[in-house]
Amino acid sequence: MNSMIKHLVRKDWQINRTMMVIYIGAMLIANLMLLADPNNIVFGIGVILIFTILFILCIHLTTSNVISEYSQKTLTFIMSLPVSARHYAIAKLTANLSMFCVPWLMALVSSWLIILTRDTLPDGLTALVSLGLVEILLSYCLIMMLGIVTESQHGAIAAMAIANLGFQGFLWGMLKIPAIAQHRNSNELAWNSTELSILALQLVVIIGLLGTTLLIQQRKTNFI
Amino acid sequence: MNSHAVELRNVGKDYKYFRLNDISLSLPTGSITGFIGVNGAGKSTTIRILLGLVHQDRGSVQVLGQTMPDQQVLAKREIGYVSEDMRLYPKANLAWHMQFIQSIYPNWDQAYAEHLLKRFDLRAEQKIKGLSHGQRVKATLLLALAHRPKLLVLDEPTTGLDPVARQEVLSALMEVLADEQRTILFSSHNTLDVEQISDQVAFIDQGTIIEATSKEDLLDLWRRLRVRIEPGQSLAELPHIVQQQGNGQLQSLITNRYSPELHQIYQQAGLEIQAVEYLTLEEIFVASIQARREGKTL
Repeated sequence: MNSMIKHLVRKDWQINRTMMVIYIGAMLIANLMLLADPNNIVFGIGVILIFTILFILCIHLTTSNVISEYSQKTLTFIMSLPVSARHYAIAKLTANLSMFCVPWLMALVSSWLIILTRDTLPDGLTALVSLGLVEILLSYCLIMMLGIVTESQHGAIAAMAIANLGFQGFLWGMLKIPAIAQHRNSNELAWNSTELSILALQLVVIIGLLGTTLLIQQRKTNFI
Repeated sequence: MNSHAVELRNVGKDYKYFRLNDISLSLPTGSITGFIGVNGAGKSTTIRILLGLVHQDRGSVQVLGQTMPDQQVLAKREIGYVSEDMRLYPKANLAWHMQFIQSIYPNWDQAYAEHLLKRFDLRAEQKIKGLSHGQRVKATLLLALAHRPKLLVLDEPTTGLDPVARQEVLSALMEVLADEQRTILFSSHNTLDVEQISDQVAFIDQGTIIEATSKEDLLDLWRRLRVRIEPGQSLAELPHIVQQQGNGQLQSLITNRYSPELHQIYQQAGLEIQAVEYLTLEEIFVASIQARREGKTL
């Protein structure tokens, strides 16, 4: 990786470290709630908390680390450094994705651990939970992309609305697919072809969103 | 070494409500150029183009031997940029910014940075959001100067500063002028600031460069002549009159080509020249803008 990109990624982590400590801490608490108590209420609150943290992080990261660079005019400072539009876009995507992926991976790993270690939860649930979490990652990529490309809070909020509706629709749709609904209740850990196809599609969309963001940023002719 | 640090040739940029009209501008290496224009004249657009922050629609831009915007990364390694609308990260302190810039520029001079810190009366541990506007400009200037750039670009750095902060910024600039290899482009609508530090001057108005020359030549060639004319005498045929004011026989003329020969031509035309006065840069700037807007060719 280009050294300037590394500098910019490190800079974003340093600038947002307090926010990230809070989110990682909150995710840790949510995970402990799932692990600590088999009580359904605490478990349920833990699950809601995990999704809430990820959804808030989607918009918070985009506003504080993407939109604010435009609104607070720190972008002028950054673009005056020996950096190209391509460097900036790659750094912004890398920093934002890495910051989002820390709590996201915590949620993914802990959900797998909990499902696989609890007799009361069928192992087949891992596929649905994983697909749901990948969908949140996809939603984040969409919000981040629109934030970077439109450089506006309105763009990010519109993306958030689309992503939120999309996620609800996704969950509803998943449960309507017989292969997924059946697997969810079984103890079979291996993913079926339907689940693998959906995962592949999600990954293609994520890569497509990131690629499109880079392409649009590289073609911009005005940066401030 | 290139004889020009910056060369813009027929550079144009079209916006919906503004057009940069194929401007050409060269900054000799080691020069200090004052770039003067009213708000919205095209100063910031020109500066952003030469930094690669805005891509020109036409024309070529060479900065420190690099073609812009394609080679902006190489060029910006040697450029220090301070802009009135540039902001540092509000939640971080100045020490963090200094460390960040130091990690990017190998030429960072820590001793000089500390010297500037004292000179500007700044505290490294203070968060940016707690700084006044003047302190913020000085902090940005510190970051731009301490990596010892070959080209320093200052876009309205003194705008909005109180007189003390403004003088501090100008004094710091005077200090760095000692380095003859450093080229400085200083944009402002405040001609007094430019007059203090510049050796070259460029005027821009409505997206067009209307004057680009040495400050000494400009101050030497532009003069105000207080004259007495014969009743009914017309001055329209006289050469190089940019502006004419007054009623009756006592008139005040501004010329942009003053010389003993021109003085003689005016006298031969029957003018009784009572006084010849130098103009300030501001007077020259205002007269040039007015003349251009009236359609006169300077």
